[in-house]
Amino acid sequence: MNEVIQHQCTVCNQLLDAPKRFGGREYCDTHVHQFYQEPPHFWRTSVMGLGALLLTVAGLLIADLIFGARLNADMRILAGMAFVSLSPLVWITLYYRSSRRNRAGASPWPPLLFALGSLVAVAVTHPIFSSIIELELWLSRTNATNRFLAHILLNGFFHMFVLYALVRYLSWDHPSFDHRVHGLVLTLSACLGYATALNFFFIIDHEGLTILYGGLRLISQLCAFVAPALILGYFLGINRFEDMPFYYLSAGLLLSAVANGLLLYAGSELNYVGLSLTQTGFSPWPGFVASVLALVATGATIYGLLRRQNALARARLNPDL
Amino acid sequence: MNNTASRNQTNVSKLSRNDRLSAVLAVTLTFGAIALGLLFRQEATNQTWLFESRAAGIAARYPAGWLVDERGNYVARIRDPRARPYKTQYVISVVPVSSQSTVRNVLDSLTLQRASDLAAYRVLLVEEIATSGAARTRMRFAFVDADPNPFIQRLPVVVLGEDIIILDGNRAIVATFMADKDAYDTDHPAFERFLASLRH
Repeated sequence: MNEVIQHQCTVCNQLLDAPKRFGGREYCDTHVHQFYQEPPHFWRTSVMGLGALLLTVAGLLIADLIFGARLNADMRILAGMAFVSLSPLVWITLYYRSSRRNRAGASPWPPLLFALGSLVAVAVTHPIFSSIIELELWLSRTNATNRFLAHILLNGFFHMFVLYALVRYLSWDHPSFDHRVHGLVLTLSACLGYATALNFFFIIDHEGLTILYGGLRLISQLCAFVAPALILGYFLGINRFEDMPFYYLSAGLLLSAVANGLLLYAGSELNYVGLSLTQTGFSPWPGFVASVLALVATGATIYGLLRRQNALARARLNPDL
Repeated sequence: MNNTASRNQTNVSKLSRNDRLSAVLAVTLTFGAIALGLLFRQEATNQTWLFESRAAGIAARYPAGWLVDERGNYVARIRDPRARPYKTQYVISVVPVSSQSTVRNVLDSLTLQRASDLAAYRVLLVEEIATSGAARTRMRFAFVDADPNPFIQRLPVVVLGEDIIILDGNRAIVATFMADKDAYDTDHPAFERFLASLRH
């Protein structure tokens, strides 16, 4: 009896007689020349999202000057939620609108993952961390070394695995995941929904935060999620279109979990500034500046790495160019 | 593809061996790291330091990071510096007793002293218990703590406490546990471990 091996396109699942091959995966004629393309609107909307983040900081400064400590608890909760959700909503809206303009039928996954990320934060992460593990209570009572390790082992791995699972098990096989950069788009979408919902809980659990100090703390936390999500998204985007070694995705997960834990730790720990040999004061700025710098540095590094990988793929698949 | 329908077909899964191993490794890595984190948290929560008073001949292990004060009219007062609004604390004191004295005398003396020092002091319960195989007496009490510092604005706190009286020859060792009523149940297991480690 004859055995015929059926070949499928990695992206569109179309059955192929003569598949094109790249990095151990098989493609149809269309998708083999598509995955390394770089839709420019992702980076453009990401820069605009970062701009919205910086505008939020300016808004916090102005609101603090105008309202100071005069807002009551309800208004502080509403103001905190508005400030912290501005930048994620700007990014997801701009990305979705620009992707609809750039090609027919924009993928439904970015807004869907944004919503799913929020739901997981509400239904799973917050109950586990606040009611079962009571992590924040323990972190407030333990020393700096314990806080550092707990941020990486408990916060970092848990949060990054949630984002990994949302992208890897839900949207990985969908034909709309047809560019490497979509690894970043999907992970970032899930991350923004997830981090925004967790920030909402942070505001509600603390019965409203002060406008400036609390707002900067929330933005630091947002950056502490977004920068590692870019790392994870890069690994997912590469692995989707190449058969990488079995430890590749886990290495990405490990790296992003460490980055997440480190940034969550630094975002709060750096705010305790030494006033003298025996006195310690509080300023929200060091943690905020470190978090934003880490986000910008991570974004620039991922941008450079992805462009290099795409250029290499283009050169390998088009040797005549 | 129709001309191949009559032949056996082997569908090749898009997931390679590396993809399948990768999925298992990612889950294993995450659960391993979280389990390690939880074990580490458990270890750190139960970590203790040794307190030893050679003068009083008393030693015990208290939660790591708590502050020991030996300058009052007690052997030691050990407090949780991070507890709010009332600092959870253990106090060890030694009361001389004669051969005719009973535990009741020690308890009455404590009650009289606290009734004048503490606001709304009430004894809630006195009972005999067996701790670490030895018979001891427990007195539970409550009082209201109001910070006398006029610059600290906070509501008075209801404090729950417990004395464990141990008769030891011509002295009685009194181990006292006090905590904000909301933190009492949470912090009590650590006090039980402290009592179990008490050597005299």
